[in-house]
Amino acid sequence: MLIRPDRDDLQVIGFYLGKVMVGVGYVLGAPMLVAAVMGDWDDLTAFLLGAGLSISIGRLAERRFATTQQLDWSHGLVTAALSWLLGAALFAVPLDLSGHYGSYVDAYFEAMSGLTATGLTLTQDIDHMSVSVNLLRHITHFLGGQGIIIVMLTGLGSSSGQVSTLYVGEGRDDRILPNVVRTARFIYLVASVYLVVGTIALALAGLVAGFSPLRSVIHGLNLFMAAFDTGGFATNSTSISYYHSAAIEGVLIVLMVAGALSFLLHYELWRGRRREVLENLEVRTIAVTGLITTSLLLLGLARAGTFTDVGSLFRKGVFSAISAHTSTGFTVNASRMFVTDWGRIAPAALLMALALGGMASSTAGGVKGIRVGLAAKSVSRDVRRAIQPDAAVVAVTYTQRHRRRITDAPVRSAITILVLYVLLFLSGALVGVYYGVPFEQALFESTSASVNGGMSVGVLEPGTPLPMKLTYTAQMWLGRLEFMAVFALLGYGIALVRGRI
Amino acid sequence: MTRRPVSARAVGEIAVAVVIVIAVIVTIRILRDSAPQARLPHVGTAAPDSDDPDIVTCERTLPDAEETQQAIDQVEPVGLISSTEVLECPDAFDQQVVVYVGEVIGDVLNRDGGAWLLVNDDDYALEVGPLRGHGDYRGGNSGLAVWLPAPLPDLEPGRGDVRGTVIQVRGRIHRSDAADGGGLTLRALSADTVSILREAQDLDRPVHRAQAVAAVLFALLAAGITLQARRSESRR
Repeated sequence: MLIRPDRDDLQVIGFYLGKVMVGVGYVLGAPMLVAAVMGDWDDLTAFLLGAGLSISIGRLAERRFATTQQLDWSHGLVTAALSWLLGAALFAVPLDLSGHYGSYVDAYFEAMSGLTATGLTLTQDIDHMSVSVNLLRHITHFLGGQGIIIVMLTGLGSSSGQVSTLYVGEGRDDRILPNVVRTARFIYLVASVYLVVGTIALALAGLVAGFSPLRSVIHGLNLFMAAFDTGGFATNSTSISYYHSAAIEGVLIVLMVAGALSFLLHYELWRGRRREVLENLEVRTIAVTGLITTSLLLLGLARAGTFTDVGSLFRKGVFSAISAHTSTGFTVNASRMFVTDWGRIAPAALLMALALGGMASSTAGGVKGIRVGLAAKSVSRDVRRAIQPDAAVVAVTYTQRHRRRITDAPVRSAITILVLYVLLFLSGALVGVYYGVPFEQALFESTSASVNGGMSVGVLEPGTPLPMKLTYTAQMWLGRLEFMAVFALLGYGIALVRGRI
Repeated sequence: MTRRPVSARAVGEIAVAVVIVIAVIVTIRILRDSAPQARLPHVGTAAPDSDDPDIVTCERTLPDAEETQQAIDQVEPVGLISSTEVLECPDAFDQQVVVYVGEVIGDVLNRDGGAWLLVNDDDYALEVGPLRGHGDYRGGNSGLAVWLPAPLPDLEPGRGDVRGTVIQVRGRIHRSDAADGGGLTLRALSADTVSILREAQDLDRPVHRAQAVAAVLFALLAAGITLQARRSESRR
């Protein structure tokens, strides 16, 4: 029997949504400051309007729904799902006012793509976009990569008990430290250290590449946020090929890999437990799938004759493979060249790498290494059972912080999510096919949106039919929250209508 | 604990909130569409006049990748090309000597006795100018990576409210340029084969006053609500 949510349920959800909206308003202060310094007055007023709107609505919601009630699991999941929808809607306001989007839907798509660290874009004339608006796009990566609610609520002084359910709702399942606030602070610490070191490294590489000091810092900061948060936005239309710099590509590879590692693994490394890296099932899985997809990609590029020398083959091939496997989505060639110059095997290898993704509880997307690893271990267990005598006991173990024995519950959960992802890829591809896109290209674009990958073969562009844009937007949202929070929201909606008091 | 059903009043409040949000979004669209235009007149094309440019198509026979340098040098120049043509059929243009016209974008990366540029030939570059100056949406950008040997002409790249220098380059397309780690590039044949067709221009855009007024009103509203909330909290 479904129980209809009551007024207290809606009150607690409304209260925390209000807090998130206030947080969005404060975040807009950063690009506003940059707009003021650069003298971009229309951008400044766009940010001020967005911030004023967010804070006004947020404060009103906090006041109207004021409560001391704790969030339970369902509240947490529903609040997480709605926060991402509302956050994107509010960030879309200054983006839309920037004049670079053909409609509010396009601006909303961009904000969702930024927050979910996807990196697909509908920006028009990005090469004439102002520094401050471009910065906002990249800030959405930084917020979304860490987890928008955790950033907002811990930043605004909420207690651990208040935010713990939201932490799970945002697709995170590893609590690194005893409480969520301390875990969130550790996540900030890791991100901040990488922010400083990564931006300096990229700015220095930019100087060597020929940028002016100010421009190298601007590019360095934006590139950092897009790389570490495995987002994939770029400040210009040609992504990483704009820089013509092996040094920049090298630093980006390090940052993308760091972003695709779980914060738990960062914690273990922080504490000097290097053995965890070697024994961790997820790390091993990603090492194997990374090797396979990179080899396939190189083979495909060599077969297609895309590059004329071995150095270029490895430089572009390895960068693209890592960019895809970490679900970042940076490219070193124009999108159309995946179709016109990469043959058939290489794009297929990219698609595989995109779908697999990084580690759970990292900034990366994809179905995640742990699920693939658990499914593989489960298959291995079943095969061993089949070839052993009936009385033999087959125990398969794996290491994930500590040694664990494979049981049916986590395997079932992993396979359920894997199946859901595959269904999501296919359903998005079908929408593309309906609008006349060849199946392979539709599948590539759909997968890229679903796993928050951000690579494109050129299907998505401002003129793409509205239903396709909406489909990709929903896929990015579902993929980032890994289904559960969205399903909880749908269930809540049904219970509101059909549930019993 | 007794459960309190959702009242009709609460449902009404939510409906009003949704209507307000939709009204705000519509207002934002109106604001955006009423943005003042740049004082720059229609910038027009910067491409050289040519009644019949010799444009390469994908049917063209390709030079083999292992062709000798001598043979490559014998390839006849093919005339004016666009970046879209090259990206749609990179193989067809490999090692071709072409003429390319576009706007210098972003940054001039001076190094190694020359500079890397991004040169766009989309509508914003050659026809209508930067999007924010007119609001005439023409899709995404398109361009080629161009290498210019020194000495460089005086170039101001386009970015933000600047329409960059428009140049014409005569050079060779490299589908996979080993010196650039495999990128698709256009290398100017020499510094003499680069010419400026139009100097950079600033978009002199007036401030959008209606947007500024709306922004100040919302900022005041937010400040007022925040102050009132703080006062209520301190009273408690």
